[in-house]
Amino acid sequence: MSMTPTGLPSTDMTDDQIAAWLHGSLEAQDAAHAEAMIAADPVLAERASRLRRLDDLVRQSVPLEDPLPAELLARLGLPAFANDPATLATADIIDLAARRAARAPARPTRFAAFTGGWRVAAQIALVVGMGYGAMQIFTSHIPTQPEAAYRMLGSAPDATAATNALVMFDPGIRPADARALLGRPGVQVIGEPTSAGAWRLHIEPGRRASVLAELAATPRVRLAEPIEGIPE
Amino acid sequence: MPAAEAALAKVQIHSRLVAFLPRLRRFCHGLTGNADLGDDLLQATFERALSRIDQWQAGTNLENWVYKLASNLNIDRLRALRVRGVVIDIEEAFDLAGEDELARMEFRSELDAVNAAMVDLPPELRQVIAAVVLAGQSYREAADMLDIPIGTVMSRLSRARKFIEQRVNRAPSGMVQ
Repeated sequence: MSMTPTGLPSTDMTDDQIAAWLHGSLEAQDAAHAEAMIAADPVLAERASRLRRLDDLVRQSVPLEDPLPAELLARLGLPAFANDPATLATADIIDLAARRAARAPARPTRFAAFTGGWRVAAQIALVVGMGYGAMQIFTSHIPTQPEAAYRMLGSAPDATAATNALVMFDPGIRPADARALLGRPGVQVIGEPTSAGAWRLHIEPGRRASVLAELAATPRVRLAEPIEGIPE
Repeated sequence: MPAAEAALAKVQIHSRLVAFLPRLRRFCHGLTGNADLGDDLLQATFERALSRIDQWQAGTNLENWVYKLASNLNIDRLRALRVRGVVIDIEEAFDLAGEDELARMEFRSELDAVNAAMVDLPPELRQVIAAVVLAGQSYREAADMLDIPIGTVMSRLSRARKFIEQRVNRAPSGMVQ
């Protein structure tokens, strides 16, 4: 039985305690103590390595598939553009895996391939981007998208038009059907739908209330609301 | 909340749910131990999240709320499967394989052994593995999600680890390195 610098036998740390350290579930003081013991004791380090390897195998057995297959998106009633990387780039999700990575002790380089380190880094960058706020979440990727190859009557870009309404349809609706439903006098579609499936509109001010009421009463429309101040 | 703000909030939440789907799917696969069942659970969870989004409290963790929805739906599914039978307390049950059973196990690789173990794990043990190892939740978060004490999370993790390790040790490369 090897001894730690504190004189405690290495068997004084159980596998459960080592696992709790690996899983970032020890209090800060206990985690620091565990880290010091493991760093100083080859037997404990070997046990920690074995447990870490087991976790890696479990993660490998249930791989993270991103983006989702198109057929699954269709089954969930989501349009294909839900796979657009901009969806991730504009979401302000707090990634628990990234948080755990921050809590957990540093890992040997040889395990990096199992953890998808690039993905964690991307998610951390994503979290940093949270401060941009709701308006940017909604609009930031839209200007970079190419214009549609066709436009319905009355939807030609107008640099002076500002978004003053928002419409969402049932999941899975075809863009052509959505545009057809929006094809009303005084309605101008601003750009492409967002990754969340929301369509931005400019409606002539005198017609906005009536148009939105009509749209809200349309079966495939889930949401039709006036909105102000969305930046172009 | 004014209508415009409410509309924008709904769009934002929907966007966050969509971005979260790949990790939710992995969690669902881990919970059920089966890709097809996992996708069924994913679909049910996504539908429930959308239909009950008004119940999510802004300022709390949306991801954890959805994980809990998935976990509860999975528990409902398991209860539906458990027709009349003898109730066994998972904490008392002996779920590790005996020597005879171990001798019959053959695996092509360690990963093959873990795949088999994830399928064979008792559901209660698979829940904590999915929460802690796959979803990266802390023991406290996993305990809150599963409505069990932290000590139970730890004991189930320990049993799950031994369950998996037994099989991995039967794989060609032997002991987990």
